[in-house]
Amino acid sequence: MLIGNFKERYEADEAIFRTTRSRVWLGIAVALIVAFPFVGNSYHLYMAGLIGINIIAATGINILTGYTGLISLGHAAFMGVGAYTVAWLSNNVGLPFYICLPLGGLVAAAVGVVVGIPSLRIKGLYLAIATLAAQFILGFVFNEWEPVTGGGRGTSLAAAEIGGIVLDTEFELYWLIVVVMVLALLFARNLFRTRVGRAFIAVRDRDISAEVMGINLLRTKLTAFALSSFYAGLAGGLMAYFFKVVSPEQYTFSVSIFMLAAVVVGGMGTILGGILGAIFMTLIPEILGEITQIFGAGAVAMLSSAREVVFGLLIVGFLVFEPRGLAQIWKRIKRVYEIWPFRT
Amino acid sequence: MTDISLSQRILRISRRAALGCALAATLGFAASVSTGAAHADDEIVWGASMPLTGPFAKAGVLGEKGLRAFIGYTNATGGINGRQIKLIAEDSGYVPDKALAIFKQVMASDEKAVVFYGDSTGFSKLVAPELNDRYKILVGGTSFATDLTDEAAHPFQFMPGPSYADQIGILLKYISDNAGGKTPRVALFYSNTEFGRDPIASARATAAKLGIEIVEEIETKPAGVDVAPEVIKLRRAKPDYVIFHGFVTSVWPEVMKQSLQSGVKAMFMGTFWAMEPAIIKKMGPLADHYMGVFPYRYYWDQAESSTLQTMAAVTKAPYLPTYFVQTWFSGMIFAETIKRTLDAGKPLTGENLKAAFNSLQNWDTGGLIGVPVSVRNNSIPVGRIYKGNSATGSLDAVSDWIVLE
Repeated sequence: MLIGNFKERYEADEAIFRTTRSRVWLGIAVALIVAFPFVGNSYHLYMAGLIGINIIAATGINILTGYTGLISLGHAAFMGVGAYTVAWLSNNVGLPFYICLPLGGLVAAAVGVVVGIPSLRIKGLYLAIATLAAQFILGFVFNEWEPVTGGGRGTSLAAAEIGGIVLDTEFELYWLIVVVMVLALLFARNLFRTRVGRAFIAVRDRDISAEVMGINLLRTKLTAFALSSFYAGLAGGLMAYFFKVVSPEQYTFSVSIFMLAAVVVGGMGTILGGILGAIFMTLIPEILGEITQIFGAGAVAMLSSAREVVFGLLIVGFLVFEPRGLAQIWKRIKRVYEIWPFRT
Repeated sequence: MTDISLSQRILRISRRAALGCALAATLGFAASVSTGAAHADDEIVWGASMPLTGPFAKAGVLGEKGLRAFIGYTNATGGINGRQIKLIAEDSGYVPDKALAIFKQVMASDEKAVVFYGDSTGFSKLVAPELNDRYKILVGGTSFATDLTDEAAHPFQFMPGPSYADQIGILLKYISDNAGGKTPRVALFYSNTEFGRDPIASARATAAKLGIEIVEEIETKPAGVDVAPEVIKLRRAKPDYVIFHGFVTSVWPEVMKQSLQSGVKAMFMGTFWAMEPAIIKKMGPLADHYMGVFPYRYYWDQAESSTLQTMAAVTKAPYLPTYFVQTWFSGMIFAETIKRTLDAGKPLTGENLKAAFNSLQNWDTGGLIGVPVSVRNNSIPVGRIYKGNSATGSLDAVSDWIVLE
């Protein structure tokens, strides 16, 4: 039973993983992530890659919605901006992926700042509608700006390459995605230990009080939009290299809803929530699909509709039983074994 | 210890139950992934992603039935050279990423598929880079996208009929052949989607070549359109024909209705996905003003087609929807290419299957298509013009089979 967490130095107190137990868990997670591509097949790695990309995108929307309290329904459009930027730079300028990816994030961040300007005047549902408009405007641009985006047909790009190694299989892309994902998560985790991150939280909790405390609302809100969109652009850029095709139908409104649902289900305002939400939203339909296969080939058509219902019910169930999401469930589970044999 | 209320107890139990269910589902997934389903060594595995849910669920469910019915019939009649077919079909929800996941899942399993039926143009494009470089199997599907006729870019894909550009080409050829010395006036009415815009550039070029005047081009959203302003444009343009493309069930029936009410004296035309008899039946008297291109015979022409007779006997259904016929015919193409490859003593690789597909010249489809067909550029550029008949609720053939050169 864990009865205390004694520290002798400030560094120990400031560490992200402060207990031996959490460091052991981290070690196990790292070992699993490293071992996974050697035991999984290409389908498993494909799903892992998608999860990694979705984690980055979900963390982005978590920064904006979960931590800063600014709702966005245009996240997929920012992903699209990142993806098209990467494709264009790769095809027309011939830049390597390690330049294209951050530039994709930066262009998405710039667009995010523009979209975020109305957040100074409006919030809540009104901001949701404003970002929704951004989603459709950018969707229109993706479809119509044919010389750059390829229009409705979309555009394709060559595989990412580093040091003569072409990253064109799930195995190689897995490592690229994992590295970017870990860096993105570490940055996000540390962000909320800084003044900027704490300002986000203060704005979310009460923006007027935050302003009275000396927080510049203009700068803080636009920074949140920029960072969130940067993450989306990064995720979109990775998606471009992952599929080697970028088309408008990959970045539609339903993808924005998917990302928002991921952070709601996972737990808003926690890094773990974004991770768990992205895993849940990506994997559960697959798991349910596998379960329908167990009932035999003939039942697939009939059970597919039921699967959608079950997926919806699972989301509703989690929200009813734990509105703070999967992250809170995980926290409760942790508490059970931390104080075992006693009960809460 | 503090007392807890009944509701709290229920909530606690429910939480445990919910977690238990989630754990059981995860274990079930792990078990199903790790074990896989058994299959005989000589079985030939086909993969398919089908939109069983989502916006095209109705078409997807019927399409899945068509493919499954064809496979059931083939297996019951001895399989392909004595080998049985096994179908692994999953729901894609009409999401290309998900369809690609199904493709990868099928290709990663022990039961590696030799052919795959994809459910959208989006999937066909997403799968192309890896299909060409890595997986190299024969892929067919619902898409008639003109891009797929580029054999260099899509060496392993095909479509079970004419491309959208060819469909419009067949319509324009019919218009030209029936012009009676006049310069026909045609309006193009299409959706602002990739599907809608697909054949437009080609349509302009073909029209110019055939001496047809394009008097109006109208582009709208694929659904939820206020058609009144567009009808006014049509009235001003005075076209002899209005060709719709890029819609399935919405927009165009309303455009037709309002146009005819406002005095537009034109014949309205459609392409493959707007040629479903069930839609025509719902149109009532408007059906007499509608015609379009379709590459197959309809189920009421069973006397002319042994393939349609087989479909009817297998399904025992009085009605065979377009989506069902399309997947059945795709199954026929897969089976024929596999048979030809096996007969040649070659392994079932994508290269060999595609070569077998390209060898389909003057192929008899059992009357489903009224002339022997020859594949060209990943497609079958044949079609016939049908005209709606409000009295019978059917579509009557008004042209012979048109084969594009």
